[in-house]
Amino acid sequence: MGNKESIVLIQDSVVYGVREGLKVGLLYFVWSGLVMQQIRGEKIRSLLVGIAFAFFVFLSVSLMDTGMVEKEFSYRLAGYVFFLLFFSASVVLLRFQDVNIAWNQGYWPVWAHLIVLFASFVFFAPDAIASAIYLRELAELEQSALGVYLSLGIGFIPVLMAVYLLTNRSAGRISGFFGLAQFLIFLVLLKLLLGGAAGFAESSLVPTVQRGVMKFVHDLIHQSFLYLLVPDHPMLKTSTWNFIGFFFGPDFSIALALCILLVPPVYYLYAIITAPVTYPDSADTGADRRLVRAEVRHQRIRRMVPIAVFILIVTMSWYTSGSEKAMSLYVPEPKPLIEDKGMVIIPLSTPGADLTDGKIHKFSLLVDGKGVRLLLVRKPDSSLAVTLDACEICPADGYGQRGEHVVCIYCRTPIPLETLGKPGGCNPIPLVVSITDRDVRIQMAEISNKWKLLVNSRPGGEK
Amino acid sequence: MLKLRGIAWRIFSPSTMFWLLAAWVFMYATLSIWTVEAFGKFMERLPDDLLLQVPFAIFIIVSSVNYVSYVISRVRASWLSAPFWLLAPTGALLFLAGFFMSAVSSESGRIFVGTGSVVQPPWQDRQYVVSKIDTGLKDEFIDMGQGGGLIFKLSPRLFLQGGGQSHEVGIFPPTKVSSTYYHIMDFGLAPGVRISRDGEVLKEGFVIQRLLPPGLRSSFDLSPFPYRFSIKILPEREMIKGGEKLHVYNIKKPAYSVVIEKGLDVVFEGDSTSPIEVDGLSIEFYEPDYWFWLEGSRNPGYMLLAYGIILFAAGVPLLLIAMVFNAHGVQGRDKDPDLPLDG
Repeated sequence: MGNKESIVLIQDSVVYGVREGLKVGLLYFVWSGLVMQQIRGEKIRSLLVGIAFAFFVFLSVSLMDTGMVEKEFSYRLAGYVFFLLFFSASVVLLRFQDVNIAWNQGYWPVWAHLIVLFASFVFFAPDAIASAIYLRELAELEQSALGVYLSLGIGFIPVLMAVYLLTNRSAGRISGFFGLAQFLIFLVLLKLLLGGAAGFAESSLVPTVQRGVMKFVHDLIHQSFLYLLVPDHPMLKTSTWNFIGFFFGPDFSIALALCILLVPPVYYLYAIITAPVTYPDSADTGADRRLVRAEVRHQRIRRMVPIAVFILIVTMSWYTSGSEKAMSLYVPEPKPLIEDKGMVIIPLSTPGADLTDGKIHKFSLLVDGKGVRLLLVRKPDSSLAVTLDACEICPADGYGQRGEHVVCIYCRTPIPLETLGKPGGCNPIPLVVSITDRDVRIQMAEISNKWKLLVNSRPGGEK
Repeated sequence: MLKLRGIAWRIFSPSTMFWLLAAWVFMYATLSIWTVEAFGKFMERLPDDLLLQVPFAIFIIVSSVNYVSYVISRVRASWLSAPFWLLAPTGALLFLAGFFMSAVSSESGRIFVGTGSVVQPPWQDRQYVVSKIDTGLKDEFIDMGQGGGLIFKLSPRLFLQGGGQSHEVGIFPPTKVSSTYYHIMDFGLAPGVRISRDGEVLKEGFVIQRLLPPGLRSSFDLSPFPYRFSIKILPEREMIKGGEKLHVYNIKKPAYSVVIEKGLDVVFEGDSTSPIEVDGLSIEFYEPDYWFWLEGSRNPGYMLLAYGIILFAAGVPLLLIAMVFNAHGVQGRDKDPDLPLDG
């Protein structure tokens, strides 16, 4: 490895350290601000113990020798914790606008400490696992674990110290901004802006929700059509199918995704703005009442700030790149293959590509002077699916990948990776292949026969 | 008594709706993150699993009670604006109820039929006979490059005869006959194939294939023969129209382009205008028959589901209009009359 690459990896580790340091530090800062007025040390301790447990998980995973399953698990766990946070925040925003956590009570029972401990552990554990995996990979590339972890520390520790100093000076000023709803939204934002690990984290909330919505809407409409005995798309007029297809498309799903993300905070803002002011009995003059009203308004405005920031960030995320990311399918360029004695051989791993990376791979070759496309992907059960890049029903436009589905580019049907290799419907047409430790071998006759039958069967011919 | 009323009030409150919905979202999101095909799994279990059915049913009941209260309040507020507010919720409620009934109590089955076929779903005593089928196909088909969707335009239909009545069944919407909804899921040609050796017929019959619209290629095996046949309808002639070369197909008596494979080898590639000789066998294609794939469904929730979708689709724009007008109305009312300016 050259010096230049080494410097990049070291920089990566430092940046990583800064980000993780910021995450721990900001949570510490806000939590300190919330509990500062009463017995701060005791309440901070449960948070720190939770973080310490997460750090222990980080160390364990760093030292263990683990494979792909762990990475997959980590990815799901990070997503699930994020969902739990956003779900809780939404419930609180919609139902418990006025709830203050009993931050200022002098005494906390044991269960309250345990909840804080557990919550902080759950908050940091997925990132700890992801970080450990990512840094281990960096260490392997750099061939120096010490360099990577040292760089991490160089990024992590100063940030943490800076936040600690800041906490002692100004954490008390922020308590007015946070009720339960605001605190949960803050956690969501922390995950959103600083969450995950490079390489396999969702960098934005909007595309993830949009993908989920798209799949749900597709499945709901499909199920409703089954009950209503609506025929499948080969039997429908193109215009009818295009109309139905709108509901499967990105425009509809982004609108729904934004509703899901923005309705709870916007509703909260609406509720807090329109809530009547209750005056205490002691405020019997107009001046007293105006004072009360001003104080209430001031408090409400402060409480609105974190929620407004969340709305702003989600909207910006959608406006800049979120929608684009979710809309675009991953459609790799087909790599050319050459026939060798009636056989096509595709290496499982080359310097430029790894067929077992979970992404779809496309290949092209010439059969009787015409282009044929193949699709390869590692399924979640680790087996390889090798198919034509076309199905039996639609024009041979091929497939793209979106998360754990391949999506027919023509009819936009999402097909779970698990079902690849099974014939029929909108599934890619499977090929009979032999797979060795090093490569995939396919008889040329198998490819050409199936592709010929396919493209000849299209009124529009080959694509 | 008051206590009971209080409990009932709580059970049927909007809060219950909220928490049931939240619980479902929680369950669904958990499933979708940790497993694949969350919706499929949910639908698979819903017909038999009381743990899913009971909360779903409670949600519909609670929603209905709240809906009634909502209707009363809206109608009291204004007769004129009430439809704007009510159509979408009505549609949503009907859709939910229809979806639940469909999931829990619908039954369906599919069968290939031709003229004379008997249709009797297991949930029904009465038999129906397919008295006539009409593919809607013309004698000639001109390929003008329309691609998909052509079959629907042709409007195939069949007639079910039973109980002294004849019922016409098409593709969509389905026809209700007795308690069952029927529709044609698919239809097509079944070419006649005869295989003989030295004049002795070894195998003969119709093979159900998807060859329409012309241009589609379809494959089949005929056991015990070790061949794979793939065929498509050949154009009978070509014509020039508007400077474009068009293919004209004879649908009633088509000729086929035929490819016969034995293992990975192609042993014949040509057309079916004359008998095909392969390994001493003579293979002939003769006048086709037609096949229909008929689907029958007993679904008590069908109409609720259908009307639910229609009302919801019509109601959402109206609801948005009502909300905009309402927001305008609210503006300017947010003043505190109890707050004099002087001290």
